Amino acid sequence: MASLAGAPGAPGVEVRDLSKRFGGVAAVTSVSLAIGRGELFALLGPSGCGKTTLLRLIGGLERPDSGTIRIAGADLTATPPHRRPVHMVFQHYALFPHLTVAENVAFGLRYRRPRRAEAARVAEALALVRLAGLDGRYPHQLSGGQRQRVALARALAPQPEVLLLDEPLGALDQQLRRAMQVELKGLQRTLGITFVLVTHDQDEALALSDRLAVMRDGRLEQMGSPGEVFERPATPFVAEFMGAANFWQAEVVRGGDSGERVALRLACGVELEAPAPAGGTMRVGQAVQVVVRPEKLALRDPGHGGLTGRGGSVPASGEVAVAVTVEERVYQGASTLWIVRAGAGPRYLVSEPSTQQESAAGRPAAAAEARRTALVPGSPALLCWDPRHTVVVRDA
Amino acid sequence: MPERAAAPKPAGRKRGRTAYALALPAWLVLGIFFLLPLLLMLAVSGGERELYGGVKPVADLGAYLRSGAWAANYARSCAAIYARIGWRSLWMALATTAICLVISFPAAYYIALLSPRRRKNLLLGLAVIPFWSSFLIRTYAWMFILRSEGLLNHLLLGLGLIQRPLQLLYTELAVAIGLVYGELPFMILPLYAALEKLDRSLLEAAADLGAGGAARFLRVTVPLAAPGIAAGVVMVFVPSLGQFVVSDLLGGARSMLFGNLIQNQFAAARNQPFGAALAFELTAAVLLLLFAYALYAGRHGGEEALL
Repeated sequence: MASLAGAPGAPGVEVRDLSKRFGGVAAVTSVSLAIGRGELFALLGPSGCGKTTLLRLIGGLERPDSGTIRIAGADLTATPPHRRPVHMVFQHYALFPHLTVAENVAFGLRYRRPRRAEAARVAEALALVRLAGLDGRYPHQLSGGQRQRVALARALAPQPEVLLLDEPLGALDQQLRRAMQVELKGLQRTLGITFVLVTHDQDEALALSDRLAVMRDGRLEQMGSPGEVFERPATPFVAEFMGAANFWQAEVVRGGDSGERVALRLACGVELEAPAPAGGTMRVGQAVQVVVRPEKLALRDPGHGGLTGRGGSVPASGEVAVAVTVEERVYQGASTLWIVRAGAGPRYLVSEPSTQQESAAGRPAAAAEARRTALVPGSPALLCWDPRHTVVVRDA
Repeated sequence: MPERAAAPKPAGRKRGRTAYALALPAWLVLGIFFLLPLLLMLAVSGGERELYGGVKPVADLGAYLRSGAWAANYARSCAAIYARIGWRSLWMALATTAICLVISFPAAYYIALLSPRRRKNLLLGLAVIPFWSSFLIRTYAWMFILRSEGLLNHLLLGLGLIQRPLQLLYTELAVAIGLVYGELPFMILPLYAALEKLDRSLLEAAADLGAGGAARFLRVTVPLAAPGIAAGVVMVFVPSLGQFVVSDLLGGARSMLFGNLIQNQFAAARNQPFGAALAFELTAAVLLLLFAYALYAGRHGGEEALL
């Protein structure tokens, strides 16, 4: 298997123009991406977006209709799965029910040379996922979390170039999932193996990955670091998928190149300046969408001072303000969600920390608190934000 | 059964009694139609043949048992001529089982894992269609196919593959064909049931971990289909061992099976005690085999339930 060693410095996984159809349905359409060695890369998207198909194509469990797959520099497009230096953690683990934990972990070692020290490698892999001592158990005698660890150990034991993880934490409960996220990240950093992870949970992708790609209908919608994708969604779809549910239709009134500040007029008439997005010049008269994340928005009383404790006069200097009506207040523990509506137009979500809720009477925040309680469904308010937090998105 | 309904009973005991009550009809049927005849057969097998059939009455049972005369039929069954028939039957049953397994596994695998979902029922239906007509009629049909002027010889002659008709009927080959043909569905169905439950992602996981086609088959498919294989083997081997219709119709004098031997003792030879002894030996062998299977199933049942 000398050819699998590949060229040094080559990307861990390089996919070029990959397409796959099932019957008449396009699952993956001309996807190209390069995943660096030792990178933790997340494929993120709603169910049916083709992320699992892309993962299975990399693993060799599906044959592509066109395009190439290179792993560590070697072209493995036509190589069957059992000859690829790639192992997968399956969504429902796919542990062999007739084999013990140790036998499961040893399964792949038989096909990797040299075959010496098989027992030592099994013990090492089980220690890595903190499962030492459960060697003799059968899968049905394990908890969900333990099965997940066995699946991880089984895929890691033969020391693959790339580890593929298909919704690895999807079957675990919330608390266990958080703990496993931390563990998975630590494991990846220690081993330095390229991880490609599929998930539909944007929080998981943001927390785990070095870089991520958002997929939609078999195509890559946006690729970048978690910060880039979260802060600067390239399309309305990405913005919405990342939880930025506040959209305004807008028109460019002063154009500019990407990175420059352009002037926009929102559909409600308010004008503001915002950084132009990547991907070409913005022309005057061009229709765009403007996105602001709920936690960047503040609600202010049109007659009084700051309502939401984010301070400043009404509106603070340089702030954008849009007149809205309060529709609902939803207490969510760490944060409070306000649902507001601009006239008969779209709804907007405002998320603010709930800390003031708990401040005792007599504290400075109490005055603002008293006014807030006056803000009931139906109250008029001003929706304000710093224009620097405005993200301009080209209409799809 | 004296029952006192007034006193409250522990739930567990009550459930136990309900279970026994539910099993009662089954016990009755087994007792009347299996255990009782078996005991009767055991008693007859210890007896002596009367001149015109039937069993000689025994005057003093104690003395008879002490004399050891009751073992005479069993001793006789060990004679070389009977032992040879026993061996042949065993071989024939083993070969039938093995051939059925080899033919059925690919068929069951195809139906369970490879065929389109909506075609599965059709294919399974084809596998059990032979049951729609009498086994005897189907065995006669084989006589027409295999005899010297039969379909097969006509075909081979017509194709110019042979010059003279082959002697197919009344050979061991014909018996083997008849047995395999008759038992095939009993192997396909349990194999299908086991393979149908096989999780495909396990095969993908094996491939992903480096196992090629043969390794996937031997390390994943076969072990997980083992309960179905065991069930199919028992369901084919046991009836093959006692078969006498197929060998009677398709086999010659030299392909006599243990089943024919028993049949002859009761019919032509009019030696009921010896026939009973032979039948009892066969039943004991089958029961031992079933016991071994039950042990195996009990040991692996827990895991199978979770597959």
